[in-house]
Amino acid sequence: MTVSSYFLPASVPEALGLLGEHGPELLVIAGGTVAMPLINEGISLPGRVMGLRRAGLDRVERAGAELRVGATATLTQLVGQGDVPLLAEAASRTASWSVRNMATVGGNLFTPPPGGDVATALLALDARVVVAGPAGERTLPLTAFWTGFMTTALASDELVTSIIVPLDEGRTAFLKFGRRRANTPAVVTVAAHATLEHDRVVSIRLALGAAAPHPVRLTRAEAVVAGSSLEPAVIDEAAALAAEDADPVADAVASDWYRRRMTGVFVRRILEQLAGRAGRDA
Amino acid sequence: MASVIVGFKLAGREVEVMASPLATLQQVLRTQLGHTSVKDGCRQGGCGSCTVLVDGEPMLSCLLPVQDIAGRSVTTLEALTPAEGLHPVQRAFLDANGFQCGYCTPGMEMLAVALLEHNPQPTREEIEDALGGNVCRCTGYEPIIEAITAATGSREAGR
Amino acid sequence: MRIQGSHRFTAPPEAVFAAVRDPAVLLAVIPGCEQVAEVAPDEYEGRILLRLPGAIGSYRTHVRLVDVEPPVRAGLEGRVEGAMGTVDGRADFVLAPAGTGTAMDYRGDGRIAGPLARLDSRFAERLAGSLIDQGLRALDARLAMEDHE
Repeated sequence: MTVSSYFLPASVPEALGLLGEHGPELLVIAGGTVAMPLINEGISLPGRVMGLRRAGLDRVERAGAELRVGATATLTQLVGQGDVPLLAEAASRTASWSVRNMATVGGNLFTPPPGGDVATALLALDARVVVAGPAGERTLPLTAFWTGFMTTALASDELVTSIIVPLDEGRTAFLKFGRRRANTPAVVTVAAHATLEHDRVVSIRLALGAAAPHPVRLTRAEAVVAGSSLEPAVIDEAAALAAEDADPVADAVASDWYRRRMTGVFVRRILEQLAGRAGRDA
Repeated sequence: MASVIVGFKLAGREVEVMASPLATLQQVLRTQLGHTSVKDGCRQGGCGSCTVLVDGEPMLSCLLPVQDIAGRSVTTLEALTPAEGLHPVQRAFLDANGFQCGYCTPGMEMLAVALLEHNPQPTREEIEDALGGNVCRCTGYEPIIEAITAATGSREAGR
Repeated sequence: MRIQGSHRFTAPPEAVFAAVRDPAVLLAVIPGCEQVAEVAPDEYEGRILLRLPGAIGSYRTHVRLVDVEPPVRAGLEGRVEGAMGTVDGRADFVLAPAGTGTAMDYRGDGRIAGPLARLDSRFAERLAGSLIDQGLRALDARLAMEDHE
């Protein structure tokens, strides 16, 4: 079945109108870096497709204490912004230069397992997702966005329009472990955001990517780290809890036992990095 | 199935093509416009041999619906090759033995052109990072990196 | 491709078993189901629209209930077919009373052919498991609602 129609709406209302008109059979694409390989390969055969490149969703702008990232802003735009170094780093470690010029921040939320590295960073940053639908706009925390394996809280008549990232003075870190250095899917990805008073952790968010059906917060590891001074025993315990809480998907990149093992290793490393010291690897 | 007419700039000239709705820039460039320097390697975005420049920025034409670039400026190797002689990047690749089978070469050269436009004196690491999405099965990459280093015209670049 | 799992329902086994044989219920609970019709006793044909990020596919389904022992067990034998590939297989489930509700255990295997076969089988298993899980949760919710009517 070849594509009979390809729509390029010039605004969000127009895009929503097309979604309403064509219903769940309309495939929505943004950067095309997930959908086009599947279409080219004959695994996905949509009849009607809607592209979002012209819908005016590509601005990245600072608004007070927040960064508003349009859903179709490219990963290259994230690399180029200086307000959130964690996002610039996560984006720069994703795919390749050409792909980053095409792939979008919003699309990264929908990357199939092992999942998006920018999405993992956004989770550590406590980002919120703005969704537009026939009834208007709603905002939900990213923690509520993913509901299972390849499923999200987005209804079939809704679109993600932007992602809101709070700006603050927290210390952040990002580690991605892939099979090779460049253009690699992740074995595991960890992103961290912490606020510290001297060496005491006042608050911490740890996000794990590629080791579960979607990026997850490591809440048990966070609980032991919060209030500590990142002592070696605390880091040991947090790393062990993180490895327990991983729910890895085995695939061609890595087996589930290896992902679980590497979860422990990289959570340890990122906590040591936050503490400002290098350490031995478990 | 309704074809559409898409206009864009190629090699400094306006072109118009008729294409099926989700036809990719790769398909249009290769089969309708004869720009076969744009290779058809994987159609998965994994090899980089279809790399072209859109308004100067490298993109993978196999994943790019041609309608998305309507009105924009597209550059391929054919577009860069002068009527006589060679583009400096082509000359640098030739002099450095920067290709064997030549299949990856157009993609590598498009990246080199874009890189040097953004960053005339890239370090070796910056060159490697820029090439990260393009696969070469022949050269082991070293001659390609040397070619790009030489194309900067500087002994300081490529360190 | 192998799948197995279990699920708890608040409704008793008789209600769960009857639901599995009711096309109207199947239409409502199978993810992406657009059409289901009984073409012969315990034999159904239908259409589902599979929607995933970046991928859409329309599939015809043909399923027969076999080895039926109400309200305890049954097998589902069938085929899901689309331009993107085919899955042929069989799944069996067993229902047991669990308090006032039901505990279901199921297992199955299928063969995938066509472009779909190029997907990693572990991914396909995880995906199938996720879709089944969604369907069973929808069934549970629907039966719980009917119970209160």
